[in-house]
Amino acid sequence: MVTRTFNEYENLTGIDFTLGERMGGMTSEERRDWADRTLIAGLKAANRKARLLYRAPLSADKTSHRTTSVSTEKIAREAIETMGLDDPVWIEFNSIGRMPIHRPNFP
Amino acid sequence: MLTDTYWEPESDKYKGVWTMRNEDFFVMRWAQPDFIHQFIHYNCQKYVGGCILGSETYIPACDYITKEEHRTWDYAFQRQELFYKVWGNLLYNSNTPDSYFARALADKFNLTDGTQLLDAWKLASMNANRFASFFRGTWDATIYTEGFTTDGGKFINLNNFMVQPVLDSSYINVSDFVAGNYNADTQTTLLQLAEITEKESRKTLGLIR
Repeated sequence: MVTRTFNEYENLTGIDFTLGERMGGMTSEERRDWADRTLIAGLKAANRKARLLYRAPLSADKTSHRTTSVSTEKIAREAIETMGLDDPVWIEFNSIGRMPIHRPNFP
Repeated sequence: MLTDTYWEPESDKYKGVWTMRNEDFFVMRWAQPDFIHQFIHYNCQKYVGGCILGSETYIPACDYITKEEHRTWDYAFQRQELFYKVWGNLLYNSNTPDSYFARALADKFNLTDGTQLLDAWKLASMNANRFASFFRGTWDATIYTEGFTTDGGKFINLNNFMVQPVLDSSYINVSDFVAGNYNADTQTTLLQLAEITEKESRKTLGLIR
């Protein structure tokens, strides 16, 4: 499906996906493996290069709750660094609530 | 909370992109270039590639917010033009001066000088920032700033408002303020927050009259 979509729509320059909701019950490794053998395999099989935006996993356990862990982050990092895409990948972090970042300090 | 695993050490295979998720205002025409300057200042490390803006649930194409007789534009994103203009220009060039946005307002509204209007816009926008910094949202449905609502679209009642933890740790919630659990040297007290909110809101009204 991913490959056919790219081959059909020549103006499409890339895709993004989230290892998040609807993946409850799967471990971080299972989520990564599913993305590898479906979305990323499909992207690489397309008839031209395309960019990938990979949203950082929203859960570090088998739930769909907002959790993080170093081990899950290492899995995601390794997945991106070894997936073999020529162009740099964007890894997207969600800044509101789920993964708080430093917010500008305003009075 | 994220650790530094993704960027320590820095990777040559990817760059990080922050999600500036907006589920806080759809009617309000927020635009605050000072906030964006600070956001860029704190988030311009080499491993950051930029950010993604906007809402996930609301698509600003068909404008179903404005009554037809008041609508002078084609698409919903055009009614929040300054929001897109400040984010887009400052992410492209963070040195874009306020005078550029003031000039854009002057052109749009046929004014000789848009500086005062931009000043009013910035002051008015800060109330949304203060509210969302004071009342901590955890995921997107837990705070809708312009609607003053929380989980399930329920209005935030006074008890919620008093006990909800703050998002910005330089603020203090009501419970902690009353109990004296704060540092007056480093935190904005409730009285200071109320004072600056009222002062700047009055100044906004003065500017637009």
